[in-house]
Amino acid sequence: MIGLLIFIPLITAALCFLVKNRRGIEYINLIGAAALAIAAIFPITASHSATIYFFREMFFMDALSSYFMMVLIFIAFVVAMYSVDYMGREFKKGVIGIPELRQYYAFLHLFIFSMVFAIVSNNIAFFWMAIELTTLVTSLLVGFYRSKESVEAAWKYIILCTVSITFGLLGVFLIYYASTSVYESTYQVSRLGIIGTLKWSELRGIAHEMNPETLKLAFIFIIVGYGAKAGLAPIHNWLPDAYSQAPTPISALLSGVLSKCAFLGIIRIVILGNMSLDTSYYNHLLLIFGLVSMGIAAAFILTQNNFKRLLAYSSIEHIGIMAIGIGIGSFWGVYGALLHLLNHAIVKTLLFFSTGRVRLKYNSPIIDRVRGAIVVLPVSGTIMLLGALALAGCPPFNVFLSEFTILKAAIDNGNWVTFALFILFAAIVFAGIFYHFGNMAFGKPGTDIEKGEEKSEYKKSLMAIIALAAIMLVLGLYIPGFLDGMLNSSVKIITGN
Amino acid sequence: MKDWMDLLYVMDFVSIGILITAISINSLSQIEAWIKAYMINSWLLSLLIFFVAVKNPEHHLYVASTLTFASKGVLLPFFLKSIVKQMKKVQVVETYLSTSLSLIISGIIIAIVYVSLGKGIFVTGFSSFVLKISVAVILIGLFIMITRRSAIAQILGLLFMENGVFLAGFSLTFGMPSIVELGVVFDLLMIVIIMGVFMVQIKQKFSSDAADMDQLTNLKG
Repeated sequence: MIGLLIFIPLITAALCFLVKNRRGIEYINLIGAAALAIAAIFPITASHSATIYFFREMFFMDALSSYFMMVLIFIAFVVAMYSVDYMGREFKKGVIGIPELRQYYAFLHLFIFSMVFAIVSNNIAFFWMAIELTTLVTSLLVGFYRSKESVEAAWKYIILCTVSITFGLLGVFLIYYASTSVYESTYQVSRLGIIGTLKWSELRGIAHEMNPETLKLAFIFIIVGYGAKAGLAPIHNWLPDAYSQAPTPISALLSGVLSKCAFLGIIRIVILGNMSLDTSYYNHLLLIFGLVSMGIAAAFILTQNNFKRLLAYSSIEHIGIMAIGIGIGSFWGVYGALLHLLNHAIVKTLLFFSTGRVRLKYNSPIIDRVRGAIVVLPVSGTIMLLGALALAGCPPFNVFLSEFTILKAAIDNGNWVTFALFILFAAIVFAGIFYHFGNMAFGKPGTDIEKGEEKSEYKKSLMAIIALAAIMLVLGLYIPGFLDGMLNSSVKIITGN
Repeated sequence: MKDWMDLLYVMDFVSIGILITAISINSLSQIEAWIKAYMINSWLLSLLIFFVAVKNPEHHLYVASTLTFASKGVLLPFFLKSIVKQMKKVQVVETYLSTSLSLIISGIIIAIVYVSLGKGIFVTGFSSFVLKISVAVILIGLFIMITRRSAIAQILGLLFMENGVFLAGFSLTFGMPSIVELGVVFDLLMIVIIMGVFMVQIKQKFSSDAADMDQLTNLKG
């Protein structure tokens, strides 16, 4: 079952690269994404009751990975749909030709493959390799347009992420080292046949015996390594550049899923840490990183003049919120963080898509040049405004629900400092997002802009946007039973009871 | 061979060689000399793993030694040289700091590492001495990345860091399982190739002699 999940995106990527006509590639892309989604349903439901393994326990899916997998397949499918319109338009304009189109779809599916690989790997070193692979593939996608800016963004991205993930490798080595000393002491293995384990499921079993100091040291390297990829604050500099220069569907996938996959790596190690002696260390570190991320993002959101970069900074804010939720550590904190992960993925994808249409209409990503978007684009403009409200944390929407859950957990736990700073930063972000997107949505549009949505040819992206908006509204009012069940069992894995 | 190795402290000498090749790039200005220094560094790393393998007869260590030699000692330097040739002019690495100052800073880095790891957070490992050296190499690699302007210098700094991480891995646990090492090395190769592609693109787009980081200032805020 898990093997199928790994191979479908690979085969799709290969086919996209081999086929040489536009329609063919687009259909393969859609069918590949749909097949992945369908193939994933069965393991997701099966892993709900018991962890499933594949290929000598190299790969596995427990409730936590199936939750991430669900987010991935959903966003990946929507992105595949949106890509057809987006890239079709670029193709018609003559910005790209068939070779670039083939490359784009092949890399898109390789990117999906590497994230699937990361989510299902049981081996922490394989996880590291998968995250590294995402850097490779996405750097090519970030530099897709080969303009000065995109090459610069891609270079910054690959250098920063590679350096930090090298530290992550050191963290993986340290965890392996911690496991070897456990085996050495328990099973009296001789110095020569020294053997440790890298399998997360086995590490979890021996985590309470590991040297807590070594584990702490490893966690610092891990949080630096994967935190850069996730977009945690002091190591986020690549993120606004990469998000603003990548093609819009790729930005959505980077922000909606990739940052969460990297965050999964941090969560896995936090679980190990929670099993060892001192849990407050891990929680404090996550809280600090989370609050710093929120603070820095708030400052940059207020002064931003490019809406793609604004969305990138908002991603930093939201990954910070997730880190805070996990850092609080109680049931509702972790529950809120995981729910926030899904909500943020949906809302951010929605916003990237709708602002993508706005950008194509106005031919500019600068906030000051976009005025009266709801008049010019009745559907996507309105949905953009709703999405911005949701992103800022306005009540009837889903993001509010999860942020509220995390805040409630902070109060229950007595984390008053976290609570106060969270409220402060969230208020600043709210003001910033509302101000900028309000300006874009209302006001008088320039005279040279033709009103009305695009022609019927580009209906697919509009369908994707409307579907996402509907889900955003529903999740704000009501959490379906299966989602609640998945969240509950995932939280149990993280908190350990 | 084992006795002979212990008697002459071969392993210590080899690891000091790794440290010295890392420090030496601070004083080199020609990029080709940098690549040579990296090549020697990788050879020494591979030699060290080979000696560890002789001491503790395990197959995967021989595999790791050969792999390191083939990928980092032969393939990567060859590839980097071809990129430098493609950039045509013989490159001089420009630095923000003078040679003597960067040498002094490298010395300070090593001293800090030796003092802070002196008490030994680590219980075992085949040599805590090697661990100190590996951390020092990682930090020197990082220092080089920060203070040099050209793109290829950043790639080399990264490669030195990677060598340091590998050395740390070996000093802690006698290496990882072979499949993991294979994967990591493969990732490294791919990264350097892709960085090479971007470097050529930077040179084309910004139309200068060297791929210089000072020009990458379009994206801010």
